[in-house]
Amino acid sequence: MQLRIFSVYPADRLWSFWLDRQVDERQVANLDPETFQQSDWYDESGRFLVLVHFSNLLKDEHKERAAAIEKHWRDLDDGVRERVWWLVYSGTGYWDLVSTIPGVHYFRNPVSREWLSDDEKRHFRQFVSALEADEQIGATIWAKLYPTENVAAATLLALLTSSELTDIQPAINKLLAERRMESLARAHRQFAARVKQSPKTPPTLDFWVAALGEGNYSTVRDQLVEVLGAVPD
Amino acid sequence: MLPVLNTPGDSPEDSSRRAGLCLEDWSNEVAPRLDAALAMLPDCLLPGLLLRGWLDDKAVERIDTVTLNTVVGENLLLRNVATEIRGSAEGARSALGKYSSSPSNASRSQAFSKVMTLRIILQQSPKNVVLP
Repeated sequence: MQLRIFSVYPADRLWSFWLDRQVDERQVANLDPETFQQSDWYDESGRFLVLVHFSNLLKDEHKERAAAIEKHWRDLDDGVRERVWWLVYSGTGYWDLVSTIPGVHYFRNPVSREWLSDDEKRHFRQFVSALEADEQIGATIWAKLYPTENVAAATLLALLTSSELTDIQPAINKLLAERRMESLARAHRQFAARVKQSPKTPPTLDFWVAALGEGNYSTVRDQLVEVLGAVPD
Repeated sequence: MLPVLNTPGDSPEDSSRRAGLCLEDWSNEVAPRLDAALAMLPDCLLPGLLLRGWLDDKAVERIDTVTLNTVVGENLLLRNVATEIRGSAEGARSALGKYSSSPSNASRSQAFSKVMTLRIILQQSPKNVVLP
């Protein structure tokens, strides 16, 4: 699916670099609803992502302004509305504003002018890739911008990275026995990306991704056994 | 706040009004959130948060101690993150107070610099549990 990305008012973030994609920068005065908030901005086919920085014109306490923005999205023509997403961000992040509609999102984390963490870049790129895919987009698309709150995976990851500091085997065994495998598979993927050294040859990231992509949990598990020792069934 | 701090007032009255707004914004919006976040640091970033119940207390303590010595920014150890933020926040609060009590271009510029420094430290601080 063709996706066009705009960065508007003021276009002062490194979106093109961060997203690794073409981003068209547009200057838009104030909260002028005659611009990207009108259907005629989107007369081409395909999908549109608009990255909007309202600066101090839209802060957490500006509930009415947010409601007006959301109304403009709702007022887009049929056939346009479902192809358009407005991601509103700021230098401090939106703590309180929560959108009431699927096409507008107020990004919680701060976005600085010059810098975005690798982790955040990865999430933004995953989000954009999802918009480029042919699948229908649901309201949960925005969740791709944030890390998954997967406590089991994070716990396994923390255990694995503690292996040089303490005996993690009993805890690993207990965790593998108690937690669901997809959570653990995600942890393996994260772990693989972080492996720096191992007493044995560490599995490569490509290996983990390929194995997990096939849903071949037992292969991943066998590799884990090789790295860490015996793991119970 | 930063755009306001980065713009000179048109007149002494305007400067005074801007300074008052910034101090009010700091007291009502920034400081309470900062206090709440600092109260949780660095504990909310330590892996012990996840590992308690899976490893014994001594092991968790050892892992947390190693993690506290992890470099998380330029010349910044995890154990010093809260102290750095507190120091920077105090600098920003003090500079905003001076700007409010005697508004001038110099005090405004100083306040801008201090608040910007605080923002940079906050943006560069870890947002998730730090693994050893």
